[in-house]
Amino acid sequence: MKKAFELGFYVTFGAGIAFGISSFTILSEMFKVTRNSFWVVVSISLAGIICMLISSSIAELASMYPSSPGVRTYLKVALPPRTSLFLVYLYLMFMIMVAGIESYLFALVVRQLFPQLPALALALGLLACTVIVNLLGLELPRGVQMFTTAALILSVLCLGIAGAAPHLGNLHWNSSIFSDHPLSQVGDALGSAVYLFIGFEWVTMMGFSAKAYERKIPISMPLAILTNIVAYCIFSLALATRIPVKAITDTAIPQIPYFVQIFGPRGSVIGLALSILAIISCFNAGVMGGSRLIHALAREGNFPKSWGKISLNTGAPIGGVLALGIMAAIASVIIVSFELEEVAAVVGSAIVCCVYAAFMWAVLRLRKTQPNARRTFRSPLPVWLHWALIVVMPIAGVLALFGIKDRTIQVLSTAIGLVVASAVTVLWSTRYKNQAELRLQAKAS
Amino acid sequence: MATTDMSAIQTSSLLSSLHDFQKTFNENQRVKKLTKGWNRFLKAEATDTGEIYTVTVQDLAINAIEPGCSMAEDDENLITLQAAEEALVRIFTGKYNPAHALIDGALAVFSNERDKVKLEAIAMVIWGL
Repeated sequence: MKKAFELGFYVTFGAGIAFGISSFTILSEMFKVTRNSFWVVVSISLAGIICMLISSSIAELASMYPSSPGVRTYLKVALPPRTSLFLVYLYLMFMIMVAGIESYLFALVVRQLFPQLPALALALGLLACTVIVNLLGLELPRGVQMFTTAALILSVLCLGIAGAAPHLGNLHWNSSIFSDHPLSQVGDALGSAVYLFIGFEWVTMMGFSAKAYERKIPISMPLAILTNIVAYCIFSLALATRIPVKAITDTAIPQIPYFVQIFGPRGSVIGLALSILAIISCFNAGVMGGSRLIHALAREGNFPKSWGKISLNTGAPIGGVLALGIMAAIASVIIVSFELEEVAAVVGSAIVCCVYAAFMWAVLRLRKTQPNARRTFRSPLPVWLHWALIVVMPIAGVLALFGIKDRTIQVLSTAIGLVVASAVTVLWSTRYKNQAELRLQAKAS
Repeated sequence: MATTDMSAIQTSSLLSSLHDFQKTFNENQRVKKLTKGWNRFLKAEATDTGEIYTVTVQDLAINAIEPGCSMAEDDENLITLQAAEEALVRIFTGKYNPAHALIDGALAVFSNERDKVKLEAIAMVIWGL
């Protein structure tokens, strides 16, 4: 029973953290790129399979460094210091953007019921609540976390099946879907589709014991991804059967018109209920994860010492939570003001494609530099497949940047801005760390 | 990976480093505030030598250090620390920041998130790391 609970926890944690409100926005974006539910399903499945392959390499890294702060450790031990720090900062920026996107989308869903409420106030209110909960050191019990994720995914599946089953004839899958450069459409959508699974790797920090890294964690990641592939595919088909493609692509929250189509005006309430479940399973855990990453970087000396502050009463990483909260609030203001949720999601997806490629590269480098290091799990992927994914992932990420045809300049300038910001932060933090070490040496002498 | 401080290893074994830690822990008043209501068992496991000790934290103090560990791995009050003996010795003598050790991949800690941070806070209070 305990073993089943443990595996269940890992699977629901991985699936839940990847299943946010922004997942529906990405589905809308994918319909925009491919214009057909068939290619949306193909892109989701392909991206999911690629993430499953990547998960086996991440499992190997996790078995070498169990319980470590994932992305930071894996890249630090394998890659040159500045390269690893650059990628970690990009990943952190992605997390900050996700906090901004999710809070804005939550505000949009709430406004379907209460249109008089301002979106910015709702988004900042949600962020403030999450920050306060985390500052108080309140943690969701594992059972509750499992329940909310299971409820979210099962609801999406049931509502999808119930909506789609009687109207499968509306899908219009015929030979014409192959006539409009399908490979190019899938290529453009693939990078975005990776976004739907991001976060599955965070489970590597949650292992109950060293033994968990031998089998349970490596198995849990593909299971979590598979769960999400099924849920996303069924919901995409449901969207396509019940509402026109234009109505899906015109909104960042396509789940709301879908539920309204099925349940009438009460559909917005169901949309809100699902969003609250997503906030509990994805947003809170994500914000917490981001604050722990900031905390770890601050304790390492890369960020100001105050960002690594811990509450001695609750044990909460208050410095990291506050730093992340402030940066997420800034991201939220920018996203709400300029309606950049889609742009931010696509850029975030491209960033993570590169980080996943870096994980694959880290596995190969560590096999070379530390061939005898303890590995309780070894990825069964052949080396050529590692190299193939190292090449394919960044390409998919770059292609995703060109997916939103009418906003390419915004997407590219956001991506370039983040790359420059990360590079500058690397330079700044390296200098900051060196100065801190010099001060410490002077003090000691 | 962490650099090796050979002098520390030659003069200290895992057990004696744990005894040093016990003394420092029990004498520090701020640690008492931090560990109020926090009763845990710390299992220190040296991955290279196989040495295992269980440190009992109860009623604001370290009451016992015993060889081996009879507790179930999934016991909620058990915190497992795994590292090479040298790294554990350096951690328990305040020469290696456990937060750095975790990031370097030199240390693995199996517990809930709050206990991890609590351990880090204890190291901060005792050694100012």
